[in-house]
Amino acid sequence: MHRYTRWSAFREVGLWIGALPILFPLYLIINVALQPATEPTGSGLHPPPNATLHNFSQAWGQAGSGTVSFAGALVNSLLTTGGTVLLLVLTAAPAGYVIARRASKLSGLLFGLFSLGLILPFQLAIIPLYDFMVRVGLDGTRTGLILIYTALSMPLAIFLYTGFLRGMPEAYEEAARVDGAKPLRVFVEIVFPQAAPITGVVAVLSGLLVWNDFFTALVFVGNSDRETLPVAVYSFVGRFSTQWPLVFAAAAIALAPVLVFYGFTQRWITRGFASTLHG
Amino acid sequence: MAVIELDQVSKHYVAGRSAVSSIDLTVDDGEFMVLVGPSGCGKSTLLRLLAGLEQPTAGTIRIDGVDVSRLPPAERDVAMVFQNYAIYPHMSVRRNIGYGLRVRGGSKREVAQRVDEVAAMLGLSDLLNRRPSSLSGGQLQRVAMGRAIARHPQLYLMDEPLSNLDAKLRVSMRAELEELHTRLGVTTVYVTHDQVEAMTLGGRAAVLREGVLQQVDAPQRLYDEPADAFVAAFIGSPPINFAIGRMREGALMLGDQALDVPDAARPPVPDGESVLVGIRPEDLRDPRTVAGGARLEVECAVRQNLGADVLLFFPSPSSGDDYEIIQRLTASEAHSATRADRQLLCARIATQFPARAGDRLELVVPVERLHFFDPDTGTRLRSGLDVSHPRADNDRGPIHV
Repeated sequence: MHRYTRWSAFREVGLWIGALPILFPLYLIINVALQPATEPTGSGLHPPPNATLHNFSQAWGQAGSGTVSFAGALVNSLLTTGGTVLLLVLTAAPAGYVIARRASKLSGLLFGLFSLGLILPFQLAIIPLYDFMVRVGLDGTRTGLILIYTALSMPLAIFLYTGFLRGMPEAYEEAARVDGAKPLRVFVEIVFPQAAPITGVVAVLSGLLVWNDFFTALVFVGNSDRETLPVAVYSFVGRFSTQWPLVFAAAAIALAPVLVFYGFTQRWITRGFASTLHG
Repeated sequence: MAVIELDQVSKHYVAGRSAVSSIDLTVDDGEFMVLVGPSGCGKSTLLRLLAGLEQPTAGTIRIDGVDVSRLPPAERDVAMVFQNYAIYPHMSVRRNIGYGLRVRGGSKREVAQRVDEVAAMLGLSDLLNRRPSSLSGGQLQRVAMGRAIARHPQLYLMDEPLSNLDAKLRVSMRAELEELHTRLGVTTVYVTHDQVEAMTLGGRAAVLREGVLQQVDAPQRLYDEPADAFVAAFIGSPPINFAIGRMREGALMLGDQALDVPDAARPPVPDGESVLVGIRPEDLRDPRTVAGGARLEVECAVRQNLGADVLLFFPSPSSGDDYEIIQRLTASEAHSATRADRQLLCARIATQFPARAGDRLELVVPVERLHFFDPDTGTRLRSGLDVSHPRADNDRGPIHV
C-alpha cells in the first residue's frame, strides 16, 4: 500500500474540488426531489426538514404528456439506447475495419466523408430527415429513432474504430488467415475481440448521447408511446410546473440507470478510454 | 511435406521498384531452407509470397507441383511463425494452439487431444490455460511453434522467429528448432538476417540482396566459396576483410607490401590490374604456428580478448577510393571496423599470440585461403587452387525424411 503523504492529501483535496461542479447539481436534484411536492421550502440548497420519497413513487406512476407512463419511457429509453449501441457497433466496427485495412482511394474518401459528419451540424438536416421519416412511415417509431441515432453516432464511431484498428498489428489477422480463417471469421474471432476497449468507448459515448438526448427524441417520437425519458421529464415540467420536487424526482430516476451502469463498469470504461488515448 | 518451386517470381509494391526480382528457387521435400540477407533484401516478402499473404507480380509458385500463386493462405496448407509470434492475446494458450484445427472443422475432442500432444512435445502442458500476456518471450515462441505444428501442415514458414529472444535463449531455441525439424521432417523455409542462424540451422541457405538471389548453397559452401563479394561479406563473424590488391610481377601487392602468390593460387588477372581480395580473420595466422604462406606486416591498433582467442585490428592497406569500391560491392556498413580516415582489418588468433596495441607484427596468410573478386562486378574470380578449398562439414544438402 502507498503511504498517505502530504502530496496524497493535496491530490485528494484537488480531486474533491474538481468533482464539485459535477456533485453540486446532483446534490440539488436529490435535495429538491426529497422535498414534499406540496410545500417546498423554496431553497434547493438546504436539506429538507421533512424529507420524503413520495415524489419518486408519484413520478414513477405518473404519465407525462399522457401518452406513455414514466416507467414506459424508461423502457423506451433502455430499448432505444440498447438498440442504437448494438446496431452502431455491428455496423461501425466492420466499416472501420475495412476503411482501416484498405489502402485504396475509395476508403480514404469514405473516411473523409464520415469525418465530415463530425463537423456538420445535425440540425441542418432535421427538416428533410423528418420529411423522409414520415414518407417511409418511420416517424414516431422506435426503429426510426434507433436508425437516426445510429446514423448520428456513426461518424464518431467510424473515426474511433478506424484510428484504433489502424494501430493494431496486422500480424494477428495474417496469422488467422494462414490458420485457415476466412475474412468474416478473422474479423469476428480475431479483430473484434481485440477491439473491445474501443467498442467500450463507442458504446459509452453513443449510449450517453442517446440516453440524454432530448431534441431528436422530441421531434421524432414526441407525443407518441415511444417517448424516451428526457421527453417524459420535460412533459412533467408543463404539467406540474409548480411541483418542482416531482420534476426533480423524475430527473433523478432518469439519471439512476446511467449512474448504476457506470458504477458497475467504471474500471472497464476507464481502461477502455485510457487504452484508446494511448493508442 | 512438400517440394516448393519458385519460377521467375517477382513482386513490385511500387511500379518500377522490385521487392523481389525473378527468383528461381527449389526447396526439396523435407529440407530446411534459410533465406538470409540484410534488412530490406526481400526475404520476408518472399516468405509472405509463399504464405499467400502477398501475390506475385510475375512468376509462379508451386507446392508439390500445384500452382498456388493465386491461392489464398487458407488453401495452401502452410503454417507460419511470425517475428512477433502473433499469439492471439484474447485467447488462452490452449485456444491459440488449437485455433487452426478449430477453423478447419476439427471436433472438440480431436482438437483437445492434438493440443495436448503438441503441448507435451513443446513443454507447454502446464501453460495451456494461461493468457499470452502472462508468458515470457521464450514461452510465447513455443506457443507460436505449437500453433504451427498442431495442424500437420505440409510446409512451415518462419519469419525471424528467434529475433525477439535474448542471446542465450536464442542459442538453445536454435538447437530445439533443429531437433524439432529432424523429428517432424516437414519442409521448412526460415527467414533471418542473422548469418549465425543461417550457418547453424539450414541444410541450405539462400542469400538475398536487394530482392535478387545471390547464392543458394550449403552454409559452409557459402562461407568457403562465396559467389560474390556481397555473400563473402555477409556470411562470417567477424566479417571477412577486404582490400584492393594489384598483381605485379607474380606478386599480389596490398598497399606497398608484396605477397608471394604461386602461379596455381594466382587470380586470373593480368599484371598491373587490380583485384578485390578477401581474407577471413582466422586466415591471418600466428607465424610461429604456420610454415610457409605469405607474410603480411601490420601495426596492431586494437586488441580484443574473446577468451578462446583474440581479435587484432590493424589499418587496411587500401586507400579511401578503394574503400568506396569495397562498400559498393559489399553494401555492408559492418563488414569491418571503420574510422573516418581509415579502415581497420581484423585477425582472429589464439590468445597466446603476444601482440599489444601499437606493436608492429607479422602475420601469415595461407595464399590458398585468399578469395578473389572482380573489383567491377564483385563476382568471384577462381584461382587455380579454388577447387582445393575444404568442403563443408555440414554440407548435408537437402534433408530427406
